[in-house]
Amino acid sequence: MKKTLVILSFLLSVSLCSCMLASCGEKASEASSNAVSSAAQNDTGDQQLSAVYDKIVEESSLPEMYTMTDGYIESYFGLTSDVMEDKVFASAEDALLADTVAIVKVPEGVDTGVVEAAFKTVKEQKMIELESYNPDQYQRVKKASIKTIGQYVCYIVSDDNDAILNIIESSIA
Amino acid sequence: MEQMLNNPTEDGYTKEEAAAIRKFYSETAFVGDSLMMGYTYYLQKYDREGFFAKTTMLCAYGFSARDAIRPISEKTKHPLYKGKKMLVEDALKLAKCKRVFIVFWANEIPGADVGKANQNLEILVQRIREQSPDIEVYIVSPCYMYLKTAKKTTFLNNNNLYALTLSRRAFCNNNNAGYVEVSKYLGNEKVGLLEKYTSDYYIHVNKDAYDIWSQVFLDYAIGREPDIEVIEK
Repeated sequence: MKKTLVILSFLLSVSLCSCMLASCGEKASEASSNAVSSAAQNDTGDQQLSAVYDKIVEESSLPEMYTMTDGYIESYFGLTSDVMEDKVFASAEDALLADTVAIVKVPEGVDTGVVEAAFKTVKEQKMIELESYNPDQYQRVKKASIKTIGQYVCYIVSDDNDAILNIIESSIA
Repeated sequence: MEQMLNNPTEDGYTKEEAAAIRKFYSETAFVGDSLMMGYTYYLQKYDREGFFAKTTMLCAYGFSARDAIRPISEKTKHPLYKGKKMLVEDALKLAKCKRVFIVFWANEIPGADVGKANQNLEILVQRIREQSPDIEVYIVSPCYMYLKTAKKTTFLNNNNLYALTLSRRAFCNNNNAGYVEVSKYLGNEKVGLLEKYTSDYYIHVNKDAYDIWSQVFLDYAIGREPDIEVIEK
């Protein structure tokens, strides 16, 4: 009897352990799946604005541009990932040209005003710097567009502001 | 060497040296004018995950020591940090920088003599050190002017830039600051900025010049003399 009880206890323990391990595996699998989904969503999101930017580059007269790193976006614009579900920030490689394309998709429930304010600060600062230093580029920054389309906020400095905004609006519609 | 200059990589350094350089510049800020703006964009394009990936950049077009010591107002010129217009000394403290490299150059000269330029810089360095007592300060002489343009200008010319170079060197000796003379690899006061390094035939430089900036800064971090030709007078 005692032997039987020991064997039954052992079998019960093994059974319980198996259930626990299976549960952990499911949770790990679920977490992994969420991570994959999230990554896929981010990749898809990044690709959406990335694809929009590619179209802008193809169809407008932008000079050679570079895209900004997350670190520089935070350092200069003060914008972090919690207000940017998707983004593209690009500027002219030639420091003497003011051309800029910045598009941010703000997450639902987050105030787009945060991004609008950041773009306004940058525009005003650039105007102060350029007014006497480079009057031609000052005029271009003065005409820069800051536009909000739903959850998307755009900052465009270009000779093709309107055309670029049309591309953005038709792409995200 | 040519390959390294075109794209400074970790190939020219031991693992320990590369790690030391990365750490050095992760704790460093570059402060400056349009030349430093150009370097910022260069690093964004060519050094995204490289040695300078975590370097803090604090610059503005037309920026000078004269601007940097003015109180902030709606119309004054100061760098943006975390989206806010900020005094250099405040941004350095906020960023917890252990060292700062300063490029205030051509904008120091028009309307001010070379001696006055150092007075403004001395005030700025004092304020930086008040906010960050242990910070290391380095002054950089970045480049000369393209000669044909320099000959046509009254104040902004290579003789005055050379005088500024010498006065900055003396300033560093007298103020416990490091001096990084990049300009001697890109030209000199007699020949000006070499044509192969100019981006606008004036005072701004191109990618090839910024490659040399990078090489000088990388070697400076580990106390190595760069293997780059000094331009003969």
